[in-house]
Amino acid sequence: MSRPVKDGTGRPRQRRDGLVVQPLPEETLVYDLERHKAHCLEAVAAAVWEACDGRRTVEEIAARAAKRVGRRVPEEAVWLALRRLGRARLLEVPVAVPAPRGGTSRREWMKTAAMLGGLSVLSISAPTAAQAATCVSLTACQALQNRFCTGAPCCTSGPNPAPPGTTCQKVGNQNNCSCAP
Amino acid sequence: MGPGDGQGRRVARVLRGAWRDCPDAEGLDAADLVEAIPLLLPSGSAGLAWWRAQSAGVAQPPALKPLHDAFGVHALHAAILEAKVPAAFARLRARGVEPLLGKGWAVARLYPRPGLRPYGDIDLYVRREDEHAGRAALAEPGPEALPVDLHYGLVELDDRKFEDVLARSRVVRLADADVRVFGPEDHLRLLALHLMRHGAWRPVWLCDLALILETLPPDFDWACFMSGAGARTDAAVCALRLAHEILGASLERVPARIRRRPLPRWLVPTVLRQWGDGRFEPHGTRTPLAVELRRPRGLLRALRARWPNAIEATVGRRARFDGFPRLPFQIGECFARTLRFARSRSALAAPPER
Repeated sequence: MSRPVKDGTGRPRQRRDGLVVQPLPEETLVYDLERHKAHCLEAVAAAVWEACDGRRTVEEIAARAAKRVGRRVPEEAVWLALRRLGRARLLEVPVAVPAPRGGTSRREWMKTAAMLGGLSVLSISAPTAAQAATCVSLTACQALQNRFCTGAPCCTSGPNPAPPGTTCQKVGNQNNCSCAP
Repeated sequence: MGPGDGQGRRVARVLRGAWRDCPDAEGLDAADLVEAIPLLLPSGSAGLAWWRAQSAGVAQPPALKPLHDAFGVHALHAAILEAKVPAAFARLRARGVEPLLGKGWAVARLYPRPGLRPYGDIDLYVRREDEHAGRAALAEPGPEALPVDLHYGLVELDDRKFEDVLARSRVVRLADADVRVFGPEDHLRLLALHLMRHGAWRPVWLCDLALILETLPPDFDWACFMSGAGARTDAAVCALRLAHEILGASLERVPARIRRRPLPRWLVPTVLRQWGDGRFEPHGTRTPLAVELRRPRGLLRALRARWPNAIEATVGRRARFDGFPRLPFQIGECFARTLRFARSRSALAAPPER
């Protein structure tokens, strides 16, 4: 069963640049450094994503994912995972899910695929989690003269949040420290 | 028991044994877990709570979502920071400075999963005389910013010689690099004293002690752990006892002298009150005092946020953890802080570096 993707190759490719990946036994966590978004890939979605090397077809991806998770992964499930991975911008080019065959609607087809489980690509948004480790508030950072910049991460929550992924540092010739990437 | 104690006790119940490979469900219920979430998230303990709850199968996934999200963020943050540790070592070593890595990654690596023990920076300790070389090494332009908290001297361990601590240190592999961490005796003492110096406000710090107590190497040298200034050793011993009293850490391999050390009655409630106080602003997140003082009523707010708890005050005044009232130490510590602030103001008045 060969189906076209948006770029027309039929061989989806995993995005690699600008991502931090933390594989765990139960799931794979991915942080997008460009968009500052975190995603949690359940086992099957992670196996599909890992198999997207730009050379394998969907059929081959299904076979490889099945080997990795230890159970059958139908192609419908691969398509659903690909759609979710594409929406999360974890593929080089998002895929276009093809029309189902045999008279079933796309909605029903996706619903059946979703029932297989392990396909979720969940967005993680934990604003309070970011402040859990020691951090310096934007106000506190900007109050420091440039020779006292701590280099500590800036707090992304609170009354005056700093941009995510910034640290308190000396910027140019400014007299005071800034929260900068 | 005040409301803060009750909330703190709830946090303690959720975290009992959470550092273990397979934590059990004893004493944990879903209601406690859900109630404790607003306190677990900002204190960095959410990952551990999630680990215990999902291992024990206590709560349903929707209730666990905020905890799991926090765990995910911590795990990713840990991956980002971990990748920077070898670069930090390489930069300092290129200038002839051999650092010691403590807290943060050095203890997080002992937990069953990354993300269970969050940390915000890379704590490196160098000799006092290496201050300039260390600063210069980290200030060098490089491909990436290094979130290093560089300590000149051993801070909590400065009753020990740097050379001795260095001699007891261990080298561990991280990616393709050799990373130097504190020896187990020095590290346990460092973590215990750091916990007490900051008033035991983060539950995860007490979990660190519990984890280390239950995974001690067979050759752990208790005499080495206990050596040093008497007041500090007393504080470190009390910290270990707290890990047992509050979190149920096993003291099986701990000498009788430590196991039998009675805790003053005020100590456990102080920790629990601290854990149960959702309004608490930890160091690093407070608005600077200088900024507060510019506002009307700023002084009152600043004082409230900075009033030392009984543990901080005892450590700050180098007193013993005994049954006497703590108020005199708290007042004394408050004066000492005010003095330090006044001194730092005069230092800040100097022209900035260009």
